[in-house]
Amino acid sequence: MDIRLFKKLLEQQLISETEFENIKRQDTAPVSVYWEVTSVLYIGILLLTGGLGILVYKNIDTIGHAVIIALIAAMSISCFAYCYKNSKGYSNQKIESPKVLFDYVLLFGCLLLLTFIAYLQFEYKVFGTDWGMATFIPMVLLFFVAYYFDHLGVLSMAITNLAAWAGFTVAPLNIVDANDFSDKKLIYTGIILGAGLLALSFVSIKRHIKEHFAFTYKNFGAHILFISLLAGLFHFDHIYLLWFLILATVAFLFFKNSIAEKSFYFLVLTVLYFYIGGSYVVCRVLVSGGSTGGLYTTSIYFIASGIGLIKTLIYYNQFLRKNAHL
Amino acid sequence: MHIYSKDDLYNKHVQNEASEVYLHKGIAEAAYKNILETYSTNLYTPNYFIRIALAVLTLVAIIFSGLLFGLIFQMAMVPTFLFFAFANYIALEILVRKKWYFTAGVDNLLMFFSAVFFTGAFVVNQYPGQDLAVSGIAIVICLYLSIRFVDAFMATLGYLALLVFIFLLFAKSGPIAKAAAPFLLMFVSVGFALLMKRLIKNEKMLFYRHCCRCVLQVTLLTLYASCNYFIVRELSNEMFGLNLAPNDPISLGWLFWVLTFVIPVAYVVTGVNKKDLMFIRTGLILVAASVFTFRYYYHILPIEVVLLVAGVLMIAISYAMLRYLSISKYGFSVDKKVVSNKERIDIKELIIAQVSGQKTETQAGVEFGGGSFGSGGAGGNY
Repeated sequence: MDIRLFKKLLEQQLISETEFENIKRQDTAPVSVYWEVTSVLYIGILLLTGGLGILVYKNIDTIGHAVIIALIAAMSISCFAYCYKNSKGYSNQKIESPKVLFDYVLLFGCLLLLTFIAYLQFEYKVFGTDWGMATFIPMVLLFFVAYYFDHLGVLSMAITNLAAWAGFTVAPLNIVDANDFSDKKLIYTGIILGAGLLALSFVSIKRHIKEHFAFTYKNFGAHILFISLLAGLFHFDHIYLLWFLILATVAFLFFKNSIAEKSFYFLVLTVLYFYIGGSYVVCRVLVSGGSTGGLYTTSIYFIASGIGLIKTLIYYNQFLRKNAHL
Repeated sequence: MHIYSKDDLYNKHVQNEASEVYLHKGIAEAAYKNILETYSTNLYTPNYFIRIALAVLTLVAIIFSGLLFGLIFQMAMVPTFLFFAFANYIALEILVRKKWYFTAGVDNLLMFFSAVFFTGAFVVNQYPGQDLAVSGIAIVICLYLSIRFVDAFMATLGYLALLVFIFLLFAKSGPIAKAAAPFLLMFVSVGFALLMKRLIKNEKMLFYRHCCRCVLQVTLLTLYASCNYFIVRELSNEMFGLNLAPNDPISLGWLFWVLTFVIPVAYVVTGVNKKDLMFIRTGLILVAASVFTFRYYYHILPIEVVLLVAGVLMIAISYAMLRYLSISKYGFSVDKKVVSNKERIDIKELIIAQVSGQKTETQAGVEFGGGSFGSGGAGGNY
């Protein structure tokens, strides 16, 4: 902290004597290593559950695995017991976690629970060959835990599970590789799932049920919906203009919403997804026109649209800034 | 020297400092607003997401401009590269002078590509001493850009180019020099770390403090990298053609093993002593890097046991720390910061926005963004 600067501000009477004392106290206050310590804790939990998972998997046919499974179950149960004991009970509002460790214990319990269910299915085929059931049960449990104990991380896990249940793997990085988007069914599933999550986000706010969950729903929903729409645009060759129309409508709605909510995140996301779709259509039209001429016009299109969008984004950045309020 | 006006840079510094104390509830909102109005700046640094989008779009525009230019003129590689470098640079100068972009995404990309194309022009053709020439030119160009546009990324690249240059120069001077190369690089890293520490304290370097801090961070990494066993062994094997068999030792191997483990610990200890979070964080991450290095050569335990042991250890240590520091000791605490990073971005930008919003009628004002979501991912209160 630049104490000399604040001294100057004090002399200019921009800050008061007490405020200056506050600042001096802040400067000498203990350094908080909260972030560092909790990060180590979080990574530790991930490593431990990962290690347990591999341990179970490697020992699946030996006597030892029963012990390990019992251990996992016992640990998971004690985690949930701890959380239940310390929890303040369910509320539609946001609940601050009662203790620092609370969120981590809950997360640990959930990860162990998933390992446990995966084991039951793998070894005893509890849910038979019905993989739908095998992902449905943990999903319901996770949603319940997320709402009851108010945990955004568990909510994300639950949504991922929901997507898995819908025949979809929503891992952020391999979302495009891991799914065979040539499958029409998957595209429709994605659209319904995305729209459904957006609806949930809307309902959360409208009904005042865990309003702070709305962003997580909206975030997952927006990405899934846009990627599915783009997949539809690329896949359905003969009616691609129709798909573009749908994409444009959705993008327009998102655009209006992000302006209304002053959300730069959704503004940028919408613009970029729409830019991909729009450029695809423009390129198709331009390239189909002629051989090398198409290449020139395509280049010019990208230069012009790139610069144009930069100007637009900066314009809206300033527009939102002017209309911002606390 | 730099392209921006001194007032703008200074006012931005004041705003940043004021925002920090305001977020920790050190000053009242009225005082904060007064400071922001008195020290208004023309620099345009938008919100993170806007910055990323602007960078992506600039990339599209640059790539296709290059393509179009190539299609039309079909010149030789070297003049084309030089032309691109100057075109990017001129665009950068004009845009910054007109709009006062300051790490706005657009300027970062233009700067990066003007450096890449200029340096690239010397990579295309083969000539003696090429590697030295290329790294030397990279040093000059990065240093110039970092000074001109007060850019931390260019400063960091310039430092890395310098390390490469010294390494190449030294490696050419014989077999003993080759063996001593890691020590030389360590020496240079330490030298730069000390230099940066001095520069950060220097009032005259106020505007470049962020650049110095970034270079300091990277010197910590290069110091570790220049004596990490894996890097020393594989790099000297590759560069000097030693043709080592998988388990062949290298000369002074024991020393590098010791350093591989001592340096991260030393960082953490230094960080604790000096209350410097940068050292603590870097040290913690490098401990993990050292464990990976060790496991690369010695598979003494199966992976799941390593995971279990590491997991239990990490949970135990962090739990103990949370307990131990629940009442702050030795100048450390585990206070949950008054505001999370996400809120920090939101509040800061909204307030700055509000203040500058009133001023925009008369002048360009601060061009910060409005509200935003600080977390791009699913978020979560882990």
